[in-house]
Amino acid sequence: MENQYYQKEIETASPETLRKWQDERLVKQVRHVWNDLPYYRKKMEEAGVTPDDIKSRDDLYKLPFLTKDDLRDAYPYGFLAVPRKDCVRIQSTSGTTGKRVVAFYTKEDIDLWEDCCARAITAAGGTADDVLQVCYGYGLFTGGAGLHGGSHKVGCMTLPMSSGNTDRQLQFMEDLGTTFLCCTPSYAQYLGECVKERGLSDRIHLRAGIFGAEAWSEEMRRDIEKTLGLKAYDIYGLTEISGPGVAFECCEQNGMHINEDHFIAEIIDPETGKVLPEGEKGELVFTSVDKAAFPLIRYRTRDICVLHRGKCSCGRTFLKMSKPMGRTDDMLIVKGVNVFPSQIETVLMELGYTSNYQIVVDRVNATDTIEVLVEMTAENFSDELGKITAIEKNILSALKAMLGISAKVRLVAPKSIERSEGKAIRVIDKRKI
Amino acid sequence: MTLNQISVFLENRTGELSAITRLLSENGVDLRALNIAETSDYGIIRFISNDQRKAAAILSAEDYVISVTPVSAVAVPDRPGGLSGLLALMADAGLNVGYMYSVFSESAGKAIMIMRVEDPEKLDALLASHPEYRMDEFC
Repeated sequence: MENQYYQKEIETASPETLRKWQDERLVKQVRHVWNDLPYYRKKMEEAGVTPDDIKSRDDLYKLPFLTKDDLRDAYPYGFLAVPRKDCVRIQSTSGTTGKRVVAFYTKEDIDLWEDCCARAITAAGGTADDVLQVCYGYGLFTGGAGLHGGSHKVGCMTLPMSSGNTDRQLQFMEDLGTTFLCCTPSYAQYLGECVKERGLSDRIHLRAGIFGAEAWSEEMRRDIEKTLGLKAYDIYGLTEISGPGVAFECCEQNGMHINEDHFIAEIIDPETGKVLPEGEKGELVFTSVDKAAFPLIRYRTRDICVLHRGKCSCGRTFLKMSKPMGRTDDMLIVKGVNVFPSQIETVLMELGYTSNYQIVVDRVNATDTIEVLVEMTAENFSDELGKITAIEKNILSALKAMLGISAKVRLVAPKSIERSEGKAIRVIDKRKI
Repeated sequence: MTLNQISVFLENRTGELSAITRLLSENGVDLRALNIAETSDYGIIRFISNDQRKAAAILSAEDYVISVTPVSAVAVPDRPGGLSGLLALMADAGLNVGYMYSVFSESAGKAIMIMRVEDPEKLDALLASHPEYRMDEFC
């Protein structure tokens, strides 16, 4: 397939040009927040930094970080950096406890966000000939609005379905000949199961889909691609930075290109806050360099990933980020090694176990221990002890390979792992430090 | 003869075995043979009862992980050398025993053993010409 771009001159710009844009925009953005965001100006003053100290992106490290707590503190209007009459939209995060985070957009901010989504749709092969069905939620959530806007820009015939009502989703998909699907990966998987169960495979004409807003594995990708008969692309974003489309997958399907003309990405050590060299795993931090209404500087995403710059066969020069490997919020340090529940989950899924597991960390005789409780499944059970112990050994060595440290594995009865309100409790840390 | 054996995954904890036998007895399932293979963390109970279909349904409904495997019931003459004669015969025929255990009751001077072999039909065929080991009826 011919490589397609939505904004070719930007998406394939030389590294020097990209760098120049970032430097200029960052310098301007820092002046803007200094003048228009008293909350951040105070932080800069406390850190002893002024706009004069920021001459290029090499000076980015001098600027203080922002976290979700800052945004909650400043709720509702503390991070609105333009006069209210210039703000045309708000979106909000799906926070379930306490104060929500509210993001503001000017017309230009919406425009650049929709450009990002249009780039994602085009990179996934979308064109004006596509019938694009959006089953992300519409409303405060950025999923529906972002892909909807991007779809308009590309010129697809857009079906603003929003989430839910699976019968209607499938009906429209069949009747209107949907070719491009946008929703969460778990909903795509569910739609795939329905298509299979109802024998609709021959009556739907999907060819590509963009699925994001939650974590999904390569196994899930293969499953969705098979049941829905399409190519499945990942997308990354967060309301604080704009919404979906901060980064997107191209035809290589191995990492997401970050829209670097708008967002500068850094990887930091979540413990020390130090910037890590490219290729190292750490917390992803974004600086929005040209958004006006809600210009966040060095916002800590809590997502753990790796950045990689290299030649991509799609022709894009944008830095690539890996799929987030976990969250700093649930990172465990065991025997000095960072362990993410998601790594353990990947191992278990690959070996055919369900995602029902529990990690128990303890300290015995001044040494950390980690034990993974795995619920036995009918598929892995056997009347022969030897077969079960062989499976147990497989899990042990796969965990060792993934984590770099030895974990204990304990097979337990199905549904024996505690759940609170239907959600499994993943980690029990018994250490008293 | 070939029987369907039920195996159940159980954690190695006080009360687990009691719970499962109580569940079966409350539903009128009568155990005929029982065997446990265990590690320090978990065990596999393998059993034969008077109503395997019912037992499987009851256990599945209670979220136990089970597997149903064909096993062979053989009659072993209750005298010195009774078992070794049978095993020698099977070894000569290339039949390997994965595991075996005995049934609670005996009949007419014979002990009844449950054996797990790869190919139960081959064992049936072998014992067709050795009626002293053969079982045609169970329980």
